[in-house]
Amino acid sequence: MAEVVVVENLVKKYGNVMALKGISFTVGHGEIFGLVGPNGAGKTTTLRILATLLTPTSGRVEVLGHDVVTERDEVRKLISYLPEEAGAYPYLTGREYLELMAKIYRVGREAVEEGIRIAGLGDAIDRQVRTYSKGMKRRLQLARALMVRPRLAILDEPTSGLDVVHAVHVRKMIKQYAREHGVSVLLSSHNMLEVHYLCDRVALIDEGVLKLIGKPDELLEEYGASNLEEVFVKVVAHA
Amino acid sequence: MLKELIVKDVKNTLRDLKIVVGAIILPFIIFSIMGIAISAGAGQMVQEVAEKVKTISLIVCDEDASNYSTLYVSFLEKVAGNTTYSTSCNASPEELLDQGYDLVVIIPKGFGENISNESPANVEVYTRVRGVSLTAVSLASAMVSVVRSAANMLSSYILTQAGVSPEFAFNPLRIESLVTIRGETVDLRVLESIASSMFMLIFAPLVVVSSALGMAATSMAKENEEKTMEILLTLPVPRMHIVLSKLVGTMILVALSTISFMGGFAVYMGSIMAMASAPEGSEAGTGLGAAGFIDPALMALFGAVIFISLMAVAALGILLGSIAPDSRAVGTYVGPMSMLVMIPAFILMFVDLSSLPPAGQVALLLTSPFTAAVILVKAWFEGAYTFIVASIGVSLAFVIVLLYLSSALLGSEKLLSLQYRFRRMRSGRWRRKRLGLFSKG
Repeated sequence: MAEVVVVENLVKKYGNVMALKGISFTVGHGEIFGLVGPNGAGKTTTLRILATLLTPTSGRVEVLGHDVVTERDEVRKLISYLPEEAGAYPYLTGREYLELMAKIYRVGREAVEEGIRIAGLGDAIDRQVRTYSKGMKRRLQLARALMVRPRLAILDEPTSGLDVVHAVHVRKMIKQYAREHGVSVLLSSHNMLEVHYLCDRVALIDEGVLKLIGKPDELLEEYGASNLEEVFVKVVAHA
Repeated sequence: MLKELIVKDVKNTLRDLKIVVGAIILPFIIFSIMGIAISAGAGQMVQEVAEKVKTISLIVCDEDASNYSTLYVSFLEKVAGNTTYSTSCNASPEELLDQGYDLVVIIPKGFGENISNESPANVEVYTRVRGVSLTAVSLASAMVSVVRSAANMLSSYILTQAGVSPEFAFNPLRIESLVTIRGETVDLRVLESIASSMFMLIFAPLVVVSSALGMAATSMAKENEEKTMEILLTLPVPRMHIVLSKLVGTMILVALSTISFMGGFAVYMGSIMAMASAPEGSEAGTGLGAAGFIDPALMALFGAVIFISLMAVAALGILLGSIAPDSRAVGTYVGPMSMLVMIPAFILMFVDLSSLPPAGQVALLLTSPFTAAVILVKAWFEGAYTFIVASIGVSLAFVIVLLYLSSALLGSEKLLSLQYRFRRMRSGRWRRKRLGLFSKG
């Protein structure tokens, strides 16, 4: 499997605070890779570095062979990023927002139609974004991130704060889109059930250190756990 | 219960450093500076006018040489210290002013005959001003008042004559007060109108410029507030395009706002022009056009300078707005900054550019991005064209540097760390930390 993401000995310091202490992992083509860990573990920092928003202190970070620091413009053409707190322009309609993004990524009208399908907002797609609920906004953002068919979708807590109905829709769309179009997905989450359902592989990260990487079922077997939450507790407790 | 609630509100408000600085400390500092600037300017104006009137150098060209004209000249000699008398000046008023006279009084032929016939006699008074500051125009008015004082003395004399109509005796002279500025001759009343409208001329562009600063900063801060900035920064779009799109977007908005503003301003200026219409029977150029005020070149330049100025402040607004976490935070620094830029404008109301020391001129040039339009109006009347070019140059350089800085900021993680610091500062944690109020653990 060709590597879409290569992260090697990634270190990130904020002043005297070391947020990432030399983590390494890869994400393959069409793979859904999950980063899980507690608050402040370094998940969002890792995603922001891959999204070209932050610069690594040291280490190698590449997307399809392009360095995220020296080849930012190239990397930005290959990725789409969904931050944990993402908003859309409130006075644009959902459709106008998706059309704007399609133009920026130079993808056609089919992409907009695809985005509307992913969002699943029905007639509300022609309403201004300011009238949307939190769940509707998140669905629109997910549609924006996936419809442009990025080589790598970076999703930070994609279902954070959503009710069950919206969360199920978002998960379903991520899985379906990655499978149908071979899009690689790197996501972070607190929700172990979600990670188990979505991810081909997961990495447990805590205090800037990658504790383990593996396929969810293999990890359950290895640690004799019934769910990933138990695995996580065991790994952190042993550290 | 009410008391407790009031105490809670006051405590909660006054413990917010932002409110204390923005609403209490800054207004005091800014208005103190403005007050000092005004009183210094007004004080200097009064002193200059008083000094000049004492040492006024006046030449009377008495082309009539009648008893009445000689009498009037004697009154002039009483009120003005340094008076030169001639029955034939052999030079134009402009040339006489070039020779160093402050005031040229021309008594045309027929002066004495008119007074004998109880018909108001004409007197022409010429003086010169360098600019249209309140000081310069007040000085011109004060000098011309010397001629009026002599007219009052003539009036008193005529009243002592038997059988003269009181109506004529109170107004025996028709004094035409003319001022030369930049080679043009205009009625003093026109200049007084312009000087009195200087306040509006100065503040009109400032209002537009201040609102542009707010609009640009808010537009950028909204990206943070609506949580769209992070997405924007990861899109495959050159950073400069993001900055330019904000700049153009702001300029369109400001253009609409300016059109509305200028509409109101035109109504205002129309009333000023109507007030300053040429006096009946006057031969000299007396309208605002003659004063060079509605010179098409000035108007075109004024538009261009306003445009450059708006770009400059919009660029600054974009830079400031990009680090503000929300539009509310923008208000904390845009408001005081808008007041600060009014200070040089206040000073310009009282002084001419040429009367500023070199350091003052340089300091004023550095404020060009905010005051270029005001500087243009002042420099135009004073013929200080180099100053106009320098001011435009400074503003353009400011635009280029700010756009580059904004683009660089958006391209680095510095933006996120600055926003983080801003949020911390606003939350007051940094202050408590400095005071050692953070407990460990």
